[in-house]
Amino acid sequence: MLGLIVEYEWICKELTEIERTSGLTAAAMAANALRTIWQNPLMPFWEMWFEQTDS
Amino acid sequence: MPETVFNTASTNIFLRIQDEPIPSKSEDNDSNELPLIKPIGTPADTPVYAVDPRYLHYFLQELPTILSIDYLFPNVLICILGMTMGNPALWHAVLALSSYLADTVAGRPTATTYLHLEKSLPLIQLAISTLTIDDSHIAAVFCLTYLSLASGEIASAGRHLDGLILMLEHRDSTQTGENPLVNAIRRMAVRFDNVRAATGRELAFHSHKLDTTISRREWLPKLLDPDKLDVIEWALAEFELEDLANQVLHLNQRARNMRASATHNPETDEHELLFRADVLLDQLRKWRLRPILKAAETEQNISELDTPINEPPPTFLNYPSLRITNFIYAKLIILYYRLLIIASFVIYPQIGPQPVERQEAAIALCQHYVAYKALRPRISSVVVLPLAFAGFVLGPIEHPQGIAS
Repeated sequence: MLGLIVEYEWICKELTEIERTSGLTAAAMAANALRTIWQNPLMPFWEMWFEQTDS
Repeated sequence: MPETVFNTASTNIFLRIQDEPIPSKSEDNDSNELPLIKPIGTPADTPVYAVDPRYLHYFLQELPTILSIDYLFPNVLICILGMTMGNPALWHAVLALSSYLADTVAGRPTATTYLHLEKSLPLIQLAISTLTIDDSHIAAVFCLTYLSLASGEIASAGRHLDGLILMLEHRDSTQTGENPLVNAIRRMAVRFDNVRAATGRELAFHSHKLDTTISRREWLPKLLDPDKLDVIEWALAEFELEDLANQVLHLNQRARNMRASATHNPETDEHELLFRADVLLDQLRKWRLRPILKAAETEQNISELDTPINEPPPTFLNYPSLRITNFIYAKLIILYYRLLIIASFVIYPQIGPQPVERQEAAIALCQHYVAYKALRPRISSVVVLPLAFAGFVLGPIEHPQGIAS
């Protein structure tokens, strides 16, 4: 059974879609970063976000 | 008067040559070509004819929308392409950027991008080391900065951006001539700097150094279609918003430094940060009262009354739809809500939907994103970061509409 589509899943899907249609890999990477950061929601936000975009 | 002796074919070889028929074939080979014109070889580093035309098409037709400059600076990329003649560093930078985006969309490998990067980067480095930088090098580094941002290499984008800003400063100190194209690149560099800073990195632009000595109203018309001068007002609104973003992100740096300091005093420091954030939020609210934004808002309200019910507009999940007809307005409001969310993260650096204003901003951002998407042939990179920030608010743990299983 499919789960209720919530805002978060909708945003991740849109970001992935932007990569496919505009070639912006950064959009899919942002979706991955979102998933990783939400696994540790109590960690300091800015440090986590910096780490996820450090390439 | 002396007698003219070269006025007949018998005495003048050039008159005799004119009477000879022009052969249709060269003496050297069988190809049809004019015999007196020697074929000129292509310069070693100008492989114009070897380039996949799809990349140049992408650069001119698609990139303006993806960069979100098609209404703002419609001729900038045409100018940049024109500058590539005789400037291999820029030529290869243009191809690196456009090949990356075109190949990614088509699902092809991006090897071509790296071939062009290998050619462009050493030429730029040479120009920097010999201080022979010109506007084509500035345009080349602009392309490479955007390539890094588009490919998600934020740290690399930051290094290019630092270089770009140094080159702009060098130009300011050595050249007196204004080039509207360079001013446009400067404004886009401000935008890129804000993207970088929104990932927790330091800003390169100080708040008081965002502009050149020439006023915006003076250089903008030189880049715009004279029939679309209202675009100037949209451009000015966007510049002001990005200037405010620069200030909000400077405040974020200050907040992080204060909180990491050994002398951090939560009572006084947090009070100061809150005060400074309130001042910026007040400026943001004033920004939204700009006449051009109010006019677009009125247009939206009229559109909502006029639109027939049998045309269901796209919606953000089951939130109310917005009948926006102006994509520029929709984009700026997305960027506005992005700033409200970032300001909220400055004060409360914890992901999630609290405080409630943050949640409201994230939902409104997504509603405007849906309206914007419906009006555009391609989604611009400027909305990627706002969407990501909405995702930090409307997460999978706490959210208004339930839990995904």
